[in-house]
Formats: sequence, structure tokens, C-alpha cells
Amino acid sequence: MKNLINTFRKKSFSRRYAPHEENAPLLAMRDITVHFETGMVLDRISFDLTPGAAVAVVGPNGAGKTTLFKVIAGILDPGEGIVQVSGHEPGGHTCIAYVPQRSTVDWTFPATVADVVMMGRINKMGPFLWPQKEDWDVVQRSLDFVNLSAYAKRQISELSGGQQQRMFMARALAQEAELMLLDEPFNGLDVPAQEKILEILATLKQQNVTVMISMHDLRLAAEQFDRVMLLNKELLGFGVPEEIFTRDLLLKAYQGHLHFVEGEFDTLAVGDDCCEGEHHEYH
Amino acid sequence: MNIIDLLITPLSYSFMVRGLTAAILTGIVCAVIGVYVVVRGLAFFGDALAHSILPGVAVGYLLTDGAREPLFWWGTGTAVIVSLVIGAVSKGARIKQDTAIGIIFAGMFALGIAIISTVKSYTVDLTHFLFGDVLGVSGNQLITIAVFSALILILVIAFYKEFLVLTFDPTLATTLRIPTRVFEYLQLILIALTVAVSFQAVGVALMVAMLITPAAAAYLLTKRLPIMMILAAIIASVSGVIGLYLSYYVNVASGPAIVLVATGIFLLAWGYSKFRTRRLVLDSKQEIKPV
Repeated sequence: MKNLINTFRKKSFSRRYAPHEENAPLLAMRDITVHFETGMVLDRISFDLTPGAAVAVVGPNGAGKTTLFKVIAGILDPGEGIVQVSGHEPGGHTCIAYVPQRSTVDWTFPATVADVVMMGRINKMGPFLWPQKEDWDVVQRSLDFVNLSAYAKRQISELSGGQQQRMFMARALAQEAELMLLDEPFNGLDVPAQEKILEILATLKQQNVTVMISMHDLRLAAEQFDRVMLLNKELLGFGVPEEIFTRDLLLKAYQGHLHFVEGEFDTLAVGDDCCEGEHHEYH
Repeated sequence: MNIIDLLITPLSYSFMVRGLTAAILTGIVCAVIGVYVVVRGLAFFGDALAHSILPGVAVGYLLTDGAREPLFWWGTGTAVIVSLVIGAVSKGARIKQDTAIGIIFAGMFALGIAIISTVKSYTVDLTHFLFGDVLGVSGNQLITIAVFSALILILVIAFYKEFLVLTFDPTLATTLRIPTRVFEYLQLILIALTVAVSFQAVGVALMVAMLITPAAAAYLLTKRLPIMMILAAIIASVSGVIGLYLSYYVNVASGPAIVLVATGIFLLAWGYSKFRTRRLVLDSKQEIKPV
């Protein structure tokens, strides 16, 4: 009887979500424009995204990377333009996971790592229901995936930066997200911690999960991602790194904040800002 | 007189039994709702809300000629309205949120005292409004307290996961298509109802202590929200019982006695958590944490 009620609740609850059109692109953006009181943040952004892509989104501070992600996730309503996720408006989807910048999270909150990962599942449980065993099983599998099982019962403040990031990736997995939007996951992480996240991203790619990652490190973007998106309020380029990371486009994006150093074999682009890192341009 | 007698003697008075029941019930509700108040950093809001119900209570007091029972409804109405007004004002953002809350808080409190002061013999009743009169709770009032306490707790349990996500990560709540506005206002209304339910027991001036002190003590002892709620409820109930016995034997006012016991428990929890952290630090020096 209890199972019957649960099934009924879940069915009636899930009806609220938008269906997926089979032939539609996973994500289609058309002329997305966002104005804040301080001025224009995004200017006529249009692009399509196919399933399984791993896209690095780069651009200077204030380029609108976070805003773009929030529009895609349906958190922020764009003033103009159309967003479609698998052929429908983003407001009806729960298959998009937005992973916030770590600095925006209250790490003193009384929750364990498993509790936070469980939060990704709450819309799968139906109204009035608390997590069941099957939900905890999903949490366990998600934590295994990011190699954090040993930390399941730790308070979230006990995690290192890289572990915090992996916990949020596990939450996106528990949410069964098809599109993950990671907002500057590499900020403040050392190289081993970055590599662990890159390993997880490689496995996600095998499972056809689409990922968009905002970052400042141009070299990392060029070396690790098959697609890069260069953003500075407008979309300056979207494609393979060799075509996008050209001197002209990079100068357009970073304006005076990027210097080019001619080397023996290639040109080195060096940012003013420590976060922007450096990049080898390939010829 | 042995200890059993000490515990049983006060129970021979029916006002004492009613007072104890009321103190436990309001303690539990305040503590559970107080967990949200503490983790969301709404202590000032809670304090303001408690003080802001005074004009409503005062008008009810004048209109019903000093009868106590209708005051609950006047308090509830005012609390719900004020909580929604503060909720709306703090989104408006021309002035900072705590400034807006402060203005409403002081203005409403002054209005309440002004209304009550028009009555000649107002000091006794004003004292009860400010500091509570848990031993004066009538049978009917107790039933109202019990019904509303149950309602608040049922809502907290039913929407536990929605409130959890909304409190920790409102952005996730939006991407999971939870109606965040609805639950935000529901949370404010629950705080308002809690204030109205506990008005008789602790009064407006000390209400914030019942909301935050047990919850803050529990926060120091656990790392999970549901356990924090249970611990806070236990701490508040124990404070209520010990406070009332102290009030009976030492002859101090009941509201302050309850709050003082809760504060004592908080200090114990704080000392214990300091001690535990020091031990954890010492232990962790022996093991190297993996990356």
C-alpha cells in the first residue's frame, strides 16, 4: 500500500516537468540579452549545444559567465531572447544542474556531505516524503563516482576546496543532470585537486553528460576541452581552441588586460590579472 | 523533604501543571523554528517580530476589556501581517534590511506601549505582555497552544526537505523548480505563528531567547539539521521545566527563569564544543589528512 501511494505521488509530481523533444539540441540560445541596473551584462548571445560536449567558458571578470549560466539554468529570466532545453523552455526542466562558486556557500551550515548530495534529489521524492533507502543508494553511488565516500558523514566545513567542488558534482549527479554548469570550479585549487576534477569530467563525458565550465585559465581550457567559448558580454567565439584563441579574439575579449610575449616557438599570452593565467597560442 | 517530594509538590497545583505543559510545548516549537532562525541568521527579525505584535495585542486588550484568551488571535494576526510586511520590505532594497526591520520593530513596539498606557492600571498587564505569564495559562489557552504547536510541527516535518534546500541553497531550490517564494513566505509565517503561540509563556521581550538560545546550543553539539532540531527541542523543554521549578522555589518570575536556564545550557554547550575542538585538533596532529 505504501509503495502504491509513493508511486502515485511520484507520478503526479513528475508531470510538472517539461518533456524532451528527441531531435532538438540539448541547449539552444537565441539572442539572449540581459540588462542589470549597472548596464548590459549579456548582449545577443546565440549558440547551440549538442549532448556530450565539454565546453570551457572563458572571459575576463564581469564578462557575464555566471549570468549566462543562471539564464541557462532558468534561475534568471533574460530580458530578451529565447532559451530552449531539449526543445522546451528552461523553467520546466530539472535536468540542468548549476554548481555555484564555492565562495557563495555557507560552509558552517549543519549538514553532512551526504545531506548536501541528497539535496539534489528532493524533487524526485514526491511531496511530504523524507529520503528513502533508494535515495540514499543514489547518494552513495554519486559519492563513489567522485571518490568521496569516505567523507559522507563529515560536516561540510571539514572538506578541502577540491573536495567541496567534488561534493557539488556528486550533488549534480544525484540530481541526474544531463547538463552541468560548473561556475569557476578550479578557482583556488592546487594542481592535484584540479586533476581529480578533470578525471571526473572525463568520466562524465563517457556517460554523455554535457558540461559547461567557466574558468580563467586559458591554457587549461585549451589543453583539456574540445570546445571553448570566449565571452565578454557578447559571444566572441565558440569552437575548437585553435580557432578561438587567436590574438585578435583574445585582445577583443581581454582588451588591455592581456599582453603577448613572442617566444622562440610560439606566442605566449599573459594576463594582467593573476587569475587569468597564461596560454600558448598554437600555430 | 526528599527530591521526589520537591518535584511532586508543585504538581499538586493545577496552574503549575498547565504552566509546565505550556512551557514544554512552546519550548519545543520555538526551538524547532529557532533552528531556521539561527541558520538563516534571522535573530534580529525574530526579535523584531516578537516586539511588533504588541500593538495588535494592545488593541485586543482594550476591545475585549482585559480578557486574555482573545489576545492569541490578535497576536497571531499582527505577527503574520508584520512578518509578510518585513518580508516584502526587505526585498525592496532602498534601505538595508536590518535598518528596515529596526524601524518597523521600534515603531510597532512604541505604538503598542502607547496604546496600553492609555489604560490607568496598565503596568501589571504590560509586565505580563513583556515578560510572559506562563503560570497564568488557562485550560482553553493551553488547547490553543497545543493545536497550533502541532500544526507548526506538522508543517515543518511535511516540508522538511523543501525548507532544508531553501535554507542552504536557494539557487538549487530554483533549479529544482521548488516554488521558492511560497516556501520563503511560509517560513516567515511559521516564525510568526511561533511568536504568537509563545507570547503567553515568555512575553515579547524575551521571546528571541527562546527562538535562538536552544537552537544555538544545539548547533554547537551536532552537524546535522534534523538532529539540531531534536536537540534544540530537548534543551528548550528541559529549560522550561527547570526554569519553572526554580521560579516556584526561588520565587523569581517564570519567563526570565526559563531564559536563564536556557542561557546556562548554552554556556555548557559552548564550553563542551571548545573542549571537543581542542581535542580534535590535538588528535588530528597525529594523522595526515588525504587531499
